Amino acid sequence: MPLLLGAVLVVIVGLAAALAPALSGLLGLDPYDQVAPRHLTPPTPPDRDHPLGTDGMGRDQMSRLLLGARLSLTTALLAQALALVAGLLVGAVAGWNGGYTDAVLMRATDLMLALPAPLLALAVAAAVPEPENAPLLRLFPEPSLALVLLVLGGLGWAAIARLVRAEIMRLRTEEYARAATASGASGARVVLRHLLPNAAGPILVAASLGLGGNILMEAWLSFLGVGARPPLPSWGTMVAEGQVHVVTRPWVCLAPGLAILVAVLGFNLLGDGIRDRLDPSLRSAAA
Amino acid sequence: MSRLPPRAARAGFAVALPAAALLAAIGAGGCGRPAAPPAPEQVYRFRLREDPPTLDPALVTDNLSEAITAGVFRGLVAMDPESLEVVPAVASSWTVSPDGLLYTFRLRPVARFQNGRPVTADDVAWSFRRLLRKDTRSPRRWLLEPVAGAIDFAEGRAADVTGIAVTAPDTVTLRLERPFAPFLGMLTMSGASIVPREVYDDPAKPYLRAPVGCGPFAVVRWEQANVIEMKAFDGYWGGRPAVDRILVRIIENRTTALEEYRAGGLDSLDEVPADPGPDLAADVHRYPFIGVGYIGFNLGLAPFKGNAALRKAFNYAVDKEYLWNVLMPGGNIPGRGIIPPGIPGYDPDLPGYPRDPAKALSLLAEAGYPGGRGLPPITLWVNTSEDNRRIAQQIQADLKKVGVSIAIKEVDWAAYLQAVEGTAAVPGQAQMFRFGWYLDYPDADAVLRLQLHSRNIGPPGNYFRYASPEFDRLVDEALAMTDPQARAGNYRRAERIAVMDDAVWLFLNYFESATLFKPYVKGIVHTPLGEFRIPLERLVIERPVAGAKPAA
Repeated sequence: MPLLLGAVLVVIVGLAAALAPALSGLLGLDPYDQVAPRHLTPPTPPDRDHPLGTDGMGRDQMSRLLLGARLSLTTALLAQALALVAGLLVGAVAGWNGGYTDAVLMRATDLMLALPAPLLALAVAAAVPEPENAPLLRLFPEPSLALVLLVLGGLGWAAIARLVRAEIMRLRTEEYARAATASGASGARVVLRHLLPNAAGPILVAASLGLGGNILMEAWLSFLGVGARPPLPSWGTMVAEGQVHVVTRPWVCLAPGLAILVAVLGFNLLGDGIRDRLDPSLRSAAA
Repeated sequence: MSRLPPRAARAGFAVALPAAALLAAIGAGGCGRPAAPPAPEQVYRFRLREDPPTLDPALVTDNLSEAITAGVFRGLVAMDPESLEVVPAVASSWTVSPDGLLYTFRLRPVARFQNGRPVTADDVAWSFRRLLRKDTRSPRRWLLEPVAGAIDFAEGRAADVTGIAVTAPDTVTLRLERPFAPFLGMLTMSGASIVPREVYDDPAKPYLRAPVGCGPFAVVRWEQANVIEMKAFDGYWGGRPAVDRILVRIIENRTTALEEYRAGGLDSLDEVPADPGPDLAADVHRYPFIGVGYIGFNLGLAPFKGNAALRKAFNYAVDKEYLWNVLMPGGNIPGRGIIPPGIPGYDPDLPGYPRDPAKALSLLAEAGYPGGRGLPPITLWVNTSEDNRRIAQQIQADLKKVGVSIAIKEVDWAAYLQAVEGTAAVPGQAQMFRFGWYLDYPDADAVLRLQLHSRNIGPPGNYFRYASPEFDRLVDEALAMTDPQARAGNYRRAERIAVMDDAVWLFLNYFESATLFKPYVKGIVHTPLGEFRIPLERLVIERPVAGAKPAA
């Protein structure tokens, strides 16, 4: 049940993200254009042309929400991919080699996990006040989101590394692993061909749960003004910009707030569902 | 504590009523006409967002402190809250010698301090010396620095100020080093208040918590972070004010304050919500405030350095009318220049830069960036605030329409100031930045000279590094002029140079005050000096008294 619901929510958000430009084009909406009538103080309420009304700057809220899905999801996915690659590398090397290598890498991982991630993310993101003009970041299409991506990826790898190491240590004593080693396969080959595929389940669960976390964290950083820069319509920015109107025109921050809720809930349910499927002990307990 | 629970108030009334009725019956001798109940006490309750930093008039530099000291103290002269003209206060009259150097003030015989003692010319001289004295550490020492010998005295090189003289018990003269036209206006500021020596000479400094002045209201109680209570001063030379008691409530959180206002615990509120609901709309008072808002261009950095056409193009690209009348209504009037309305020299005919994308495009081409092509990265700096973010985004969107892309950078106030100010020699980091300037004294000098004179480049105020010899000359000349008309003419000409020729800023807005007042508060003066300088002595509270209605 959680798996199905999670999958449905994720598919909805995913479709919105994938089709954002097409959908906006179809509806004749532009996320940056100030479309509210020039004599009305925005945000204007929902009407036929603008199903979610306009935001505080008079821009169409629907198309911003759609583009926001694309930005949030892309950032979260790429950050998670970055974390996954780094986490797999560190975890596999530590788990396979053991000894000093393991000790050094795991202490580094412990250090990362010991620091409060949200505060660290905030500190790092705020330390680069001008991503548009920062040396490396300016090469990206959206430098401010590239910064968020790097920060989230740079923080997310530790949990995955810990998990991968445990799985590798558990699996490397399995007979098929010993057999592969005995028949002359290199360490890298054994890890990549035999061990990681068998550890895929828990890693997938962690990655899915991490995605929800990334979406939330991106929204939070943007809400505080250190994530997506105006006029980019990140969901977090949209909530922040809507908060002055929260009493009188609540739809302005309600829409992006609900979008965050749906996306995060979706990925969390999906992760939970996959774990339930993969873990027979949980399944029997549930039954 | 400022609000009696309605039930208790009513009970008190019920007890008092029979006694009053009895007295009335005896007094009236049975003629049958009920006596009017005694006039209810008039209490006015307003909010400050935090405790005033000081109540010593010599140390006041901020408007929170002024909100209190403007009621407690008076100087020789005062500023008329509406016309901003200098009017008599403790001095009933004054003369200025034809050379503009000698000021002679005649004191009012009826002026008294709140401790009951009459105000004398010696008090004036002593108060002025106190402001100058090094151990007073007044940030407003400069108010009296034009007086002959003032700087020598302040620096400890002279035992007395040669330019201050008491010529009769009710006459004091001030002699200036050189003619200085804004001087009389500066004497209206809090720093030039007259204080009683016996209180302000006390090394225990009791006056820090219990100030004594000769204004209409006396402070009777100050509970830190809670309330300041003031009472009408019966001996005020201008007549006892209508309001009997003032409760200044310290409420930091603006939402809490708004709820308190809604609940009836405040009679006015200095912050109007961005989106006041229909219940508050009728309580909103808006009126001009002597300040000017703008986007400053850094003339020390590319691309604005030496490129007036580019600066003009930016000015024409931004729709000020939409920004202040539609997007963010309230709080600001679309701006055209530097000198705000209400200040002598304000120029109602200054064309400014009404939005005109076509002109913006042709000026961009003239500036060497046709259609915005070839511009280096430009960042607009703002200090972090919800309003600033919206203003910056509107400017970003308007500039985008003529092909110019800018980034927005939000930083905290301290980092922002550092990036804006630079030093006298090195420009700050910020290429363009949103700034506002509130005039310390209501004179064009307070913005033109302090912000744009080439002598003040860097932290003193000219963050734009604007240097125009002709502008400097007009402003310097105006300082010594005594004819107000001619001075205003100089300021108008100087403003035209900085606005129409050099486009030194992106001219955005003139400030406006916005205050909530309950409908029963009467006598509100919409003063350009700001909501904290609304004269308390002119207010009248016609609050419907709890329990008064059922008498019929």
